Amino acid sequence: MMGEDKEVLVEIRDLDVRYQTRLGPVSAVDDVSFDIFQGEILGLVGESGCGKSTMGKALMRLLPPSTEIRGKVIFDGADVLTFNEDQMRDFRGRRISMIFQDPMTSLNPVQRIADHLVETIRVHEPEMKKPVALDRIRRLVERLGIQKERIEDFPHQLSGGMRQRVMISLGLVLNPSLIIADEATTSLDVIVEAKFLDELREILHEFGVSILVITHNIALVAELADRIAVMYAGQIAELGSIYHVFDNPLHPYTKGLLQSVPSIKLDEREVLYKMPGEPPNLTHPPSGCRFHPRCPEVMPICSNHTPSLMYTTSDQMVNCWLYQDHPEKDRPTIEVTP
Amino acid sequence: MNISPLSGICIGSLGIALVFIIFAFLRGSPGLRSYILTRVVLTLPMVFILVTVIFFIMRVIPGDPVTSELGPRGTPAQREHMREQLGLNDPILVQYVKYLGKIVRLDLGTALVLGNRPIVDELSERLPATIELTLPAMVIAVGFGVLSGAYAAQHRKKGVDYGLRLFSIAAYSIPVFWLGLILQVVFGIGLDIAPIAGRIDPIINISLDRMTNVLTLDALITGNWRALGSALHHLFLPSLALATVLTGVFLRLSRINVIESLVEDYILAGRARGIRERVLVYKHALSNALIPIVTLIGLQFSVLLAGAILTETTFSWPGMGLYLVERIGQRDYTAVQGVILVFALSVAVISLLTDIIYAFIDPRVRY
Repeated sequence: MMGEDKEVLVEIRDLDVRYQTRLGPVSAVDDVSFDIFQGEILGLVGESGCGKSTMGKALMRLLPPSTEIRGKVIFDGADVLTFNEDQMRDFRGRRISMIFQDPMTSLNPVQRIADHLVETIRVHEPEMKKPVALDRIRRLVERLGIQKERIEDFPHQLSGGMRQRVMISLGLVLNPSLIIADEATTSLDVIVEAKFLDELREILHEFGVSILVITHNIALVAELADRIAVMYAGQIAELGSIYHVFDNPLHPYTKGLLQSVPSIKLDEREVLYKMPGEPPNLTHPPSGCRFHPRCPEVMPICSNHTPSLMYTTSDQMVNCWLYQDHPEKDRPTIEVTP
Repeated sequence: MNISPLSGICIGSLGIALVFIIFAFLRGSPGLRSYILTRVVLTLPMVFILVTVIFFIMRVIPGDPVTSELGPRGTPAQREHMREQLGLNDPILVQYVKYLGKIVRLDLGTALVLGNRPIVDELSERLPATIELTLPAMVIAVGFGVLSGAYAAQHRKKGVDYGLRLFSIAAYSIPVFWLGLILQVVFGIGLDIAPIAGRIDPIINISLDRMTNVLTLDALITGNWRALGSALHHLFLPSLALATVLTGVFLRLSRINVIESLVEDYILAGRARGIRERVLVYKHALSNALIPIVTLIGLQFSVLLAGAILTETTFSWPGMGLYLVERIGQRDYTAVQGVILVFALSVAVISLLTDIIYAFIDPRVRY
């Protein structure tokens, strides 16, 4: 099985991210722990506002300075969260890089593609001469399917798919160990997206880089990832290899999520599952398990005690009382009215 | 001392602008070419309308050059003689057509008062003085305003940002003549470190050979260091007053545009690649923020001219603005029309220039 024999690249431990808002603190990521292995593609899925993007940005410390981040992000034996500003700048781009949601707005409109890439190289390797850097850049972009003459273009002269390739070459140009792709294919149309994903997987295996794919598109994760982490309301609900999670989803949220994906076969009788309720307001998250108000399998314990993410098999972890024991678990709660 | 009708600097600056426009016209895309052509052609009706409006307004307002020249003691015969001489007895439409005929032949006519010198000769003394005052003020205001605006944006909501914002609002809302008076009181009279009127010490002025009528430039060319010192000394207070007011405008403009650029995705993406914060602000954000700023520099040019009128009046600076004010008072119709024509043409040229520059700094703009 995967996982056991893999080397751990990033260890995330007890990660807490809190924003200050006018309505009080919002815990966007709440006590999350997981590992990212070397060379794997890990899909992080969840609804909008579940904290998945915040988590990606927290790993690179790209959140606004007022954000409170606690816990540990161990990368190469060092805790990224203790780095000073200079260490952090050296780390970004060189060890972890990020591919953003919208390639239309993530490139500087008044800068040529080549200048983006040269600048990125020379920030981290100032002694590198421009022609040498350009040589490296031409080889990289050709591998990514961009004609090398196009790097003299400005971003607005490229199509969306081309721009996304440029974003990926910007992510790969310094040979990082981890790439965080935050909704990286959302803005592409489906045909381009499918082609792009095939190529992407191939290239990424070739470069031997790990990827954290952040998306709300569960089909994309099925297509691309080795493992999946399902996030709900700032916590990881379920985590495991995609074969296990898709064949045998354990958490009621994962089950609901999988049932609410429309299939391409036109079946008139197919009824899509609609998850009841709304995602919780994270300024006042529900007590106990954060999913319990919407859970079809809710038990009395769920509203009083918080479950934790635990292994059910060597390859699958779930954050749910259905699979965990607790002294109060089977005792019905008695409503005491004074 | 006999200078060509339009002195060197006017031809020089106009020449540079024209060379640039012709260069852009020849090198630019066909779209840019037709754009420039359209703009140049459109300038003509604009100037025509302006000239017409000024011509009639000047004649509608009470008073005339004869009264201001002869004063209340002028005899009716003298008055009549002078009116006849200046062509003021013709029907107003005849005067208008005659005037247009002269304009088409690039003849601005002669002044109606004070020795009846040709307007071009008078402007060739006055325009360089205005350029000498406004150009440094504009350069200082744009340079300092844009950079400190970016600095304030970088340190948004910190002490230095509040300080700069307070300064910019104060500078922006202070009338330039009032600021000029305060500067005169403080630096000129209180501290007695700077002259409060004129362009140069009159005694030193005798030793200076005039070539361009921009005194600092003339002093530099002829190596007359005493004159250079005196000219710069006289330039200090008026250009400080004008620059301060304009700095306020550019500081606010640059700050808000850099702040808007700093929340763009490409800044976050740059940060994620490890690019320094300083580089993100002064290279990436500022180069994008410059696009609206350049547009507004063009629009602010007319504000600059208005500011120049007030500043020149406050500091007795013998430029176009002071000349305009004097000649409006004396109802010197041709002089006022001449100044307005020069102002209108320079605003048109500057706004065309900024539009062309715009196409160069923003690769997305295609005419």
